[in-house]
Amino acid sequence: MAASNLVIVESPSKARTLAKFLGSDYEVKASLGHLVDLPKSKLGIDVDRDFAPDYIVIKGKEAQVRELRQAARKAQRILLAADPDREGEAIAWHIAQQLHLKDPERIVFHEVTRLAVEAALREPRPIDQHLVDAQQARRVIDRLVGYKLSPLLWRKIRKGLSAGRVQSVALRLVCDREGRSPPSCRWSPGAWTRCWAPPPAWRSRPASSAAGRTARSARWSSPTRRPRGP
Amino acid sequence: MELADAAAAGAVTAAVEGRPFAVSAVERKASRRNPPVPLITSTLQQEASAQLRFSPKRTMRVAQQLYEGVELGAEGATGLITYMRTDSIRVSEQAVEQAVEYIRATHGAPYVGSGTATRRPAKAAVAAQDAHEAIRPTSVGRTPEAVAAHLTADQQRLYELIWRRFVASRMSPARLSTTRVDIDASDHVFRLTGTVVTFDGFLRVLPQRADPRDPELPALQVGEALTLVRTVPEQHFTQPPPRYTEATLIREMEERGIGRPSTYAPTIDVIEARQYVRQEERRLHPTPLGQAVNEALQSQFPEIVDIGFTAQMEERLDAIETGGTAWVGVVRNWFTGFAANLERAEADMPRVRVAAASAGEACPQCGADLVVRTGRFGEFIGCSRYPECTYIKGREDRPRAQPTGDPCPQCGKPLVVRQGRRGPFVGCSGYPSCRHIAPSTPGSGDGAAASAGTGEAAARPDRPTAEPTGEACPDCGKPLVRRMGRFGPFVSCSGYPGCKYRPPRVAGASPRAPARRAG
Repeated sequence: MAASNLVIVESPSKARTLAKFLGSDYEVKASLGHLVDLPKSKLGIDVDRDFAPDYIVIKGKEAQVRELRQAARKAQRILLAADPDREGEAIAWHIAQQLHLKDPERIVFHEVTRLAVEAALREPRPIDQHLVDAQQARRVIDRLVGYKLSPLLWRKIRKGLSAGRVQSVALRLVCDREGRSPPSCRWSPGAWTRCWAPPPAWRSRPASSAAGRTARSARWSSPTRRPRGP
Repeated sequence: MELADAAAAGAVTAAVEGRPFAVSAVERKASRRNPPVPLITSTLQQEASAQLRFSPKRTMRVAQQLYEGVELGAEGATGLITYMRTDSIRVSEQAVEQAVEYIRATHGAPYVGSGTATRRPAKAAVAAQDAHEAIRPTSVGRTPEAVAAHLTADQQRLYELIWRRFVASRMSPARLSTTRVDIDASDHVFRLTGTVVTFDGFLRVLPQRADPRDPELPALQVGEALTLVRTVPEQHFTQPPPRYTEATLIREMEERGIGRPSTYAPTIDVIEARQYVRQEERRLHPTPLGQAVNEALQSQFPEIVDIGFTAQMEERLDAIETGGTAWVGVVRNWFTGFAANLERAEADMPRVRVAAASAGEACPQCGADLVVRTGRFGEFIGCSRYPECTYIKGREDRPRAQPTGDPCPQCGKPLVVRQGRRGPFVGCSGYPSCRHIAPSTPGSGDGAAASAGTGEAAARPDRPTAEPTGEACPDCGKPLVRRMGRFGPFVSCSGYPGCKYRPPRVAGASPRAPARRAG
């Protein structure tokens, strides 16, 4: 008898752990990350039509989509349990589209434990389009930077180079540290003198255990103590 | 206070030399050191880098394994830590209760803290009044020792780091006593400071290296005379900020609002993979290529590499997520400027040649300069006129593929010695249609015949690939050999890959459960 509930996560090992909590009423399947993405071979964004992304099923994931569709047909209820962030929400959204789900149910948990998963099952929610949109905006901007800027670098500097929204700033930070002047060989500011307070001085005090005491270096602090108080 | 120059330092030394030294003031002050806040993605990566020398990529891979679930024997499978991509330091009430209970039971009530660390949380975390959580163990009761047997070495080390940090975050502050001693000599005052821990608090589970400049002081009294051992004038330099490590670069990115928990590790990975930066003693150095790309971007695409602009973009993306700003508007707004910039750069951007350092020799084939270039296998010396001249130094006396005289056991074509990333190996000349590669071990079946025919090429004298241990494999009877792996030497069957036998580790040598790998 087939399980009546289908839970879809992104990773097989997360699926394995979940399956152990959920029992035979639940089938747990993994999407293996994103099912769809922008195509590799072209920009995949219609700049003139509100930057509409042209999502396609990722090469090699067709079988995964088929398998999920098949499992979905048999299930009465489908729960999307990808990771709790932008990327996970987008994965859940894409799965819902690929499986043609009318009212997709999303569950979120921050830890893959029995209690957390059971609590999440009691509170399914619709997909959060705000999270999905933030992911889309990031994906589209990163794609535009990557696919528009990199070819320019190929023509002007060298083939195979890349630029990226976050990557290029990180590179800049690293390069900025190079523009520094080499350490200068000056005495300023901050030479100090040390004096060593040696064991003999302390040994004169009978109360203290002198053995094992070593000299300490005191840093020069100021010239002439200012008179303190009245 | 510091002295201006060598002359001033010398004057102080001369003035106090031979004069009496006496304690003029002793001041004791009690202070506290607060426990740290729980881990988030950026701090996890920093701590794992500092304590375990993990790259951010490795940290995230291992954290993901701990999050997705580990088989714990009788207890079954469960996730051991909360979600590892987060910038929230919030901790669920149940987790706090559990931690408090654990600390009370294990260390006693005085060690239970309020959990209100004063350290300023990351900017993003303040805004996040959300359901996200810090990275913590899913159950404090699962101590690192209790789960060690079920974890790989990496998992165990990272789990212990996360577990300790979380427990410490709910413990009481450490109490310290700081003593300041002023010593008068002639017209000068010298100062000593020392710190003693009077109550360890959270330091009990999170020992920290003592500050070497703040040692414990002996009990000194005002008026006490001290003897001068010697004076040591010291010069110290104004140091420029040091180059970033992977850890400090992530901290900088987080502080400046560049990137988000999901992007720190991949970003560092990509600038290294692209050979824009390389690591030297764990410091990140830009390569000439990285500098050329950076300079080109700075001059032509100032906004793309502008820190403030990029941080603002991250905030706009956050606003889409929380406030429901329309994403198309955010993209359009940004794209208008970017498109204009692209057009301008297409016309103005000069062609740059990445400066290749001269090797100081002339090309024996065409007479042009030889230069040092960086390829997939490291640096090499080649002709500056590439691609017109394809001369590469050292290649003429090391032909790409040298026949061994043996036929391929799979397709019958001749076997050849090729150069791989890890040195020479014997493969089929029919590659890529035939993918046969001889096992690299001398003394293992057909590999022995193949390497015998190739002489020294296959067995590099400086790095023995496999050393017989004198024992036989219990699975297949072939000799066991000691090999060098990425994590050090290990023993395995010489019949690999046909036989995958590896002897279990000696109990106690490593906490890793051998069964996980052998299966």
